[in-house]
Amino acid sequence: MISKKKTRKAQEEMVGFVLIVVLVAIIALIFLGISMRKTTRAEENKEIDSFLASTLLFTTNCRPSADAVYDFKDLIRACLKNERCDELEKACDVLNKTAFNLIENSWKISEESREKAYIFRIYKGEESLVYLAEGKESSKKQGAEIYLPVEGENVYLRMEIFY
Amino acid sequence: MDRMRWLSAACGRMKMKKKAQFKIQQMALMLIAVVLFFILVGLFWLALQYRNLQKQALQLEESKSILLSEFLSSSTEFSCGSYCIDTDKMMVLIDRKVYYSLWPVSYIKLRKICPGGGGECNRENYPNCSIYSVYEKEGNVSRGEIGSFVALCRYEKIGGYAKRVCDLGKLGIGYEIK
Repeated sequence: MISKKKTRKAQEEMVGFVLIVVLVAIIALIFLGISMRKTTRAEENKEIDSFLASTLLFTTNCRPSADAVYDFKDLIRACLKNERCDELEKACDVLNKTAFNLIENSWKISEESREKAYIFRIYKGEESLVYLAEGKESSKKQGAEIYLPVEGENVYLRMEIFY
Repeated sequence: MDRMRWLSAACGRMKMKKKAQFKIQQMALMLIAVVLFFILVGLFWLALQYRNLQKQALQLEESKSILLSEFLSSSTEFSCGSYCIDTDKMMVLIDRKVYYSLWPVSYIKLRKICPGGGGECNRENYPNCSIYSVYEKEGNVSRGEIGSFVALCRYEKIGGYAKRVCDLGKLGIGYEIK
């Protein structure tokens, strides 16, 4: 009788212990889940935002006439209208080259540096005017997006940097 | 017979005493373990707090620099619009020591990124230069830098007209790391 009582008490203690372990494990899993979700979301980054905003003002090599100089904003408009910068180059080609040059000079993207990869896009709805990407993407990323109204429609510039 | 009974009672008392001692020991050990656990948790929390405190101090310095970089790029003395700095105005400001007391940072530097090339800017080589040293506090060694991109604009005569020409640059604000 005494031995049975003892066994029951031990069983109850074991059940209590297991319950506590399970409870702690569930709480830990919830915290882990929340922290994992936080890292996969792209946070807004002021530096990238400033890069996109100042890029729009950059004076490009596109000079369709002797007294006309296109800045990046004008070049996007010219690309949308399928214009040419001169007889040799289309506005869209110059836009691509200029965007690549600006990124190459501004961000040091490599496996060794803090910034491991990037995606840069200029798009209007589904149509992509520029798509540049380099490096191996990771879950930790930051980005920014700005828009430019062109003839009643919005053209978006978006950049994401992977750390 | 009485002696036997007395002996068995004493033996029983001894057994109970031993069991009680064992229970006390068990409880004491448990209490020590719990106290140790809480001490460890406390130490871990303290270490985290200390690390956070250092981080917060650094963040405060950073945010001070960010605020200043926003102030600089939007103040009328330099600005030519949003994220735009007028380098002609900047050249005038470079040797003006009267502004130094307004800037609670280690240094303020503007670097031309694209197109690159050229050295420190002065009145002789402007605009074919790439670094504008606006302010530098003396005696600082340990520094961090926060920066934001800006367009460095000036006016040039193109095809007989004054046109705004903008390069891409970075406004670097240095802050002390304590």
